[in-house]
Amino acid sequence: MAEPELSLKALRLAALPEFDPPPQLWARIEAAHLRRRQRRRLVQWGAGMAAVLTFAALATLLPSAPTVPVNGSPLAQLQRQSHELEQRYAGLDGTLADDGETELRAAELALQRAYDRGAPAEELLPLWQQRNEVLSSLIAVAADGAQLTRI
Amino acid sequence: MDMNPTEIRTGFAQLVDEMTLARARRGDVAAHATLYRTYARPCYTLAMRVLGSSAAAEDIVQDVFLKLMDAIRQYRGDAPFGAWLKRMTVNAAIDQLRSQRHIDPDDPELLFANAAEPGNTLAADAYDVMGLLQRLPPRARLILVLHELEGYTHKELAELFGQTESYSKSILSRSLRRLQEWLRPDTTEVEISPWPSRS
Repeated sequence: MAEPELSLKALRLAALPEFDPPPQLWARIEAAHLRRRQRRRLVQWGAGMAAVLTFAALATLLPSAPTVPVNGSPLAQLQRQSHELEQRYAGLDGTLADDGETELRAAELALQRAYDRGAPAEELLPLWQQRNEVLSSLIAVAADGAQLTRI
Repeated sequence: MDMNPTEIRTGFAQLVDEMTLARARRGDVAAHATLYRTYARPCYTLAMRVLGSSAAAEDIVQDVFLKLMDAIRQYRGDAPFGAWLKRMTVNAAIDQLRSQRHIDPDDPELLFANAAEPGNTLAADAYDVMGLLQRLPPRARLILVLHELEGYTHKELAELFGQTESYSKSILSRSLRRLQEWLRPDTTEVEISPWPSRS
């Protein structure tokens, strides 16, 4: 009788146990993240307006990036657009208006609830569109230094 | 990201919805916590298997998730999020092995020269696979875990280590043979093939 072919399964390696990290690890990571953010904010304030002005000047003077052709479904396009808006908005960190923040969170909450109940793409599309509009408004508001007023 | 709610996925293959990712990109702590709840276990398990120490594995998970909170802004969804995170975990594990000077020689002969000898088989832990795995040289263990348990191909391993595909095939084959010897010291020249087989 031929020797059966050995494998990792035969060696029982496939049955290697899985491990759970200790329960307190997430709290440690959160605390470390918070400390890093606070340090960064201090550095940002230390750099002061000079960095902001330099960034604004560069953004004004540099030619805009070439437009990349957009592929994929309408939903994917909206998500990609949302990602781009997020990045632009993140570049304006510290300019968040409370009203805008509330509106953005409301849009995100509606989207999260839609995902949680497995909503179809048709339902997600207007919600992503709404989020993008809020983000666009916030970017515009931040650029003008004005308050967000939506009627 | 298309999600099929009836499909059960585990480990790094689990999916997260686009909204959670978008919120995480904006720095939403609750979204970060959701990602942690989803992926901390596979991340920690991979680190434990490669490094064999709970303290080192905790460091890896902490490093990976701290990096994630920053790097997620650059994540564009070209690859599944879990695969992206797995790559970060593997890189962190390699960095840690390097920092501990545990990345062994490139030469497969030298790599196994100092590994435990077959005669050292411990009857009590013959089937304690974690114990056996930790007796392999770190680089061999890494290759074995990545190929056999995490689905890396030899092509991907070659890129990861800057070596040829035959290099990782050689290390894998030697690792399997060594494990077999530890498990069954009375059998020697038996052909071993990886499971499941991949290129």
